[in-house]
Amino acid sequence: MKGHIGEFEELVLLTIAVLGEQAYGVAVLEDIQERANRKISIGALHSTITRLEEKGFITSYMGEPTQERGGRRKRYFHLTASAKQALADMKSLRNELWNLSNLELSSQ
Amino acid sequence: MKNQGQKTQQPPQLATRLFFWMAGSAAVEDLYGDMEEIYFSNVDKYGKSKANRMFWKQVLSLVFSYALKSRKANAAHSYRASSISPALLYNFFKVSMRTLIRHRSFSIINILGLSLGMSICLLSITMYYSIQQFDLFHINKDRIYTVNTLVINNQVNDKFATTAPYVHDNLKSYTNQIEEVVAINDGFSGEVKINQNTLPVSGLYVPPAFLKIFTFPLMAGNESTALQEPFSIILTEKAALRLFGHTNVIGDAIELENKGTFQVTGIMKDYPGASHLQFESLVSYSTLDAIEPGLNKRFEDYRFYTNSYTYLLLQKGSTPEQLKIPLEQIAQELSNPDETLELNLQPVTNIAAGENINYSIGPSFDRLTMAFFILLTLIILAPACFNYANLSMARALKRSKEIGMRKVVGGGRRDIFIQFIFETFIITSIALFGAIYIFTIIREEYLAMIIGAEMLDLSINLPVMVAFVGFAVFTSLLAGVIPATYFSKMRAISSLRGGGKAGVLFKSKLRNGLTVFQFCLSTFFIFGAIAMISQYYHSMNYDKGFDEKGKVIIPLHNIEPEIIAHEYSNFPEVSEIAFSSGIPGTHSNNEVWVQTYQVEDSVAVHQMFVDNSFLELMGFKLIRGHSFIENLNQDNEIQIIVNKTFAQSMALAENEIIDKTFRLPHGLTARVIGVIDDFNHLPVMKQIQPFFFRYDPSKFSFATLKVDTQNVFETATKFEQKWEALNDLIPYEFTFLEDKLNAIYDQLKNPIKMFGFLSFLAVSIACLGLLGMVVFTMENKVKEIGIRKVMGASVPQLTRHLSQGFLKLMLLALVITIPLAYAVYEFMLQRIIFYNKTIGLVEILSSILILSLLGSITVFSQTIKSAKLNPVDNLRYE
Repeated sequence: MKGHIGEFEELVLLTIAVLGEQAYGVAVLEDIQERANRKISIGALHSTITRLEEKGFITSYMGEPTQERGGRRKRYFHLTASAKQALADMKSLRNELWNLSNLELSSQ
Repeated sequence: MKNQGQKTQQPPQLATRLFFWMAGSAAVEDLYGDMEEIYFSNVDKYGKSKANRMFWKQVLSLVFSYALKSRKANAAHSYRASSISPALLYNFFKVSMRTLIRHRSFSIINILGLSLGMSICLLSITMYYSIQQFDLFHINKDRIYTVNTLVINNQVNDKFATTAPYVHDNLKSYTNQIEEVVAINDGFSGEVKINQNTLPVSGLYVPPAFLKIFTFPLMAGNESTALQEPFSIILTEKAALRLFGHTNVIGDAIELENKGTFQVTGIMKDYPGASHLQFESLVSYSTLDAIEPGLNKRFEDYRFYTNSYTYLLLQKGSTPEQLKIPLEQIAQELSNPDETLELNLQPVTNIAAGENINYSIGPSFDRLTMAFFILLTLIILAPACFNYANLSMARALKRSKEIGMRKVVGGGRRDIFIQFIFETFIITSIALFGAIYIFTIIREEYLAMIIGAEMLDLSINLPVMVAFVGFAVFTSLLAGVIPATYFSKMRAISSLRGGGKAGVLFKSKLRNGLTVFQFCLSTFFIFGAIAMISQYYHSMNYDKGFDEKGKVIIPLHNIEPEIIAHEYSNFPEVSEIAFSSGIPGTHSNNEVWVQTYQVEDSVAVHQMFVDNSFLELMGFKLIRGHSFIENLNQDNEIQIIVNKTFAQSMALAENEIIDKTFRLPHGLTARVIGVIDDFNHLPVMKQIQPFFFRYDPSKFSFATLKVDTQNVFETATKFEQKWEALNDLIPYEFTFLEDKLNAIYDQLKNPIKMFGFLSFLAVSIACLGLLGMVVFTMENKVKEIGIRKVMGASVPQLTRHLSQGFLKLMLLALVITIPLAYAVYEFMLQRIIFYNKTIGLVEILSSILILSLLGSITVFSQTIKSAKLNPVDNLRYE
C-alpha cells in the first residue's frame, strides 16, 4: 500500500535527499538533530527507515569497507521515484493550504 | 571484531554482546557501525562514562526496534537459517561414523565410560518408574483414599498415617459420598504352632469390605464371607507354602500362642502387582474385639492407635473435596485444647512414592532414598561426562584441519556445534545399549540386595524405554556441549595452519583436582570391596566352637524323631543321628527370660532343645558337670546345660553355678547340670549371648546326621526315596550344615558386590579420565619431547619425566584416601560384625597395588608411546 507519509518520515526522506551520496544512518541522524533540534534515538531512526524501505520510498546499498568504523561498512540510502512523487504531492498540498490560509497566518 | 586504533576505548562489552546476541543471524554490520560511530563522537564530546550510558540506551532502543525485528524476519528466510537439510545431516553422520571408526580405541573408551556411567542412572530411572506404579492394579484405584492425621501442638506438625478408630466407625454417618469405609489394623502377629514348629506370622486385621475395595483376588474361599467370622484368617499363597508346605489348607486350623485357634477361610493369590499394603495374612476385624474387648472405647487418644488405619472408597462421581467438611467436623470432635487434629485424604496410588509419614504401612521408598540414588548417579555420571569432554577436546589437534575446512567452505559455528553434538549423540546411543546390558546384569543383584525391593518391578517397558532414550539425549548434551562449543569457536585460519592447540576443559589445577577426586573415590570403593571380601572369608572360616563338617540337616516336618532315627540309621553312610530344636550358628529368636540369681531382674537367654548325642556329634565339650539324664521326669525341674556367658551374666563362677536353680516363666525351675565352652550359637555378626541347652524330645524339629561324604549324590537320592515313603506331602530337604551356615554369610556378599561394582565403575571412569589427561598432555608436548630427544634424552628418561606428574597425583589420592577409608571401614565393620577381623596390612597393600597397577598401565601406555616418537617428524615444520 503506497501511502501516506508521516511527519517524521517526511523529515527523514527530505534529509536523505539533502545529504545525497552521503546519506547513511549517523549522517541522517545528526542532520535531523541539528536542523530540527530534536533528539532521536538510533532505534527510532532505523525503524522509520526500515518502514520507508518496505513502503518502497527508499533503496539502500552497502558501501565499501573503509578505514573508519573499524572496517565496518555503511549502509547508504537513496530516494526512489515514488518517494519523490509522494514528497512533491505533499509539498503541493501544503502550498495549496498555505495559500488558502495566507491571510490568517501572515498577520502574525 | 575489534575496532582497530580504538583499542583503548571500546563500547561497553556487555551491551555489544547483548546486541549481537539479540540480532542473531540478522545482518547488523551497518547498525553496529552507526552505534560505534556515535559512541566515539560521544566519548569526545561528553567523556567515557556518559558515552557508555548513551551507548546502552542506543543498544536498548535498537534491540527492541522494528528495524531489527524486520531484519531478523528477513534473515530467517535465508538459506542459512533454514532447518538443516537431510544432505547435511547425512554428511554429519558419515563424518561422525568415520571418525568413530578411525579412532577405534577412543570410541571404545568413551562408549565404555559412558555405558558404565549411564547404567546406574538407568537403575534410578526404572526404580523411580516402578515406584510410581504402586497400587495401580486396584480396579477402583481412582476412588480409594486413605485418611492421614495431622497433629498440631506447640507449632509442631506431625503427620501420621494412622487415625483414631472413631474416624472409620463414624465417617459414614457424616457424609453420603462414601461407598465403603474399612478399618485396617496391622497389629496382627504371633507365633504359629504347626505340628512341632513355631513359625512367626504377621498380617492385617481387616473387615469383609476390604476385599471389595482393594483388588486382591482369592484362589480359594468365598470373598464375601471369608472375613466375616471372628478367628478367620486368609493366607497368601506364599504364607501357606511357608507354614504348611502346600496350599490345600482351607478349613485347617492354625494355633497361635496367646491368641487362640484360627480357621483358614481363604487363600489369596500372591500380589497381582506392587502394593504398599504388605501382608502375608488377613484376619477378620471382628477377631480384634474378641481378643481385646473395649479397645475402641478410648478413641480420644489417637496415639494409642499406632496400628489403626482408615481407607475409604468414594461413591462414583464424588470428589475428595466433598469430604473436606465432614473430615473437618470429625477432626474437631477429636481435637482437644492441647492439640488440634486435621484429617487429610491421600490417594492410594501415591502412598508408596509419597512423603514419609509416621507409622505408614509397608515399605516406603521415600525421597531420601531416591535422593541418595540420584546423588550416587551424579557422582558416577558427571565424571564420565567430564572425561568424555576432556578426551574429545584432547583430540582437537587431530580434528582441527577438518573443522578449518568446514569453516572455510562456509560452515557456521552452529553447524559445527550441531555436528559435534550429533557425534556425541551417536556415541551415547551406542553407550545406551551397553548401559542397558550392564543394567540387566546389576538389576538382579540390586533387587536381591535391597530390603522391600521384591515389590519393585524393574523390567524395561515402553515408558521406561522412552525415558531411557530421553536420558541418552540429555547425557549427550551434558557430555557434548563443552567440546562442541569449543570446536565451533575454532578459528579457521589458525586451525588450518596447524596451530590449533589441544583443548582443555578446565584450568589445570581443577583438572588435577578432578583426577585426584576420582582416584580417591576409586580407592575408597576398592578398599571397601577388599575389606568386605576378607571379612566374608573370615566369617565363613571362623572357628565357631563346634564341628560343622560332614553333617546333614533334615527338617522333621512333624515326623516322629524315633521313626527318622530308626529308618535312617540303617544307611551305611550314616554313623550318628541326633536331634535338636534349632541349628547352632544360625539366627534364632528362641529366647526365654530367666530370673537372675541375686537380683529381682531377668536376663534374656537363648535356648535350644537337644539330646545327648547332639552334644557329642557337634563336639561340644562339657567343662563341668554331666550331660542330660534322658528319661528323668522334668515336670517341676528341668535340666539345663549353660554356656560360660550365662555364668558370667549371673555373676557366678563356672564351678559355683553347677546345681544352682533358676526361675523360668510359667513356674518352671531350671537346674544347671553342666557347663560348656562358649560357642557361636548365633552368626558371627552377633555377640555370644547367655545360652543353655534343654532336653525335650517333643520340641525337636531337625535331625542332624553324621554322613560319610564319599558319594553325596547317591546318598542324597537314597535319603529322598526314604523320605517320600515316610511323608509324601512335604518336599524333602537335604542340606549340609556347612552350606546352611555359609548361606547366612551370603548377606555379606551384598556389600562385596556393591563395592565391587562401584569400584569397577569408579576405577574405569577414573582411568579413562586419566587417560584423557595424559593424551592431552602428550599432544601438547610433542615438540618438547622432540627437542629433548635431539638433545640426547633416552626413552626411559623421557618416560620417567613425562609420567612423574601423573603418578604424583595418584600417590596423593592414595595418601588422602587410605587412612580415611581405613577409619570408615573399621568403624563400619565393628558395627556390622561383632567377631570381625581388623583390617590388616594385606588389605591395605592389595588395594594400593590394584590401584597403582591400573593407574600406571594407563599412564605408561601413553607416555612410552610418546617417548618413542621419532623427533624428526615432529620438529620438521618448525
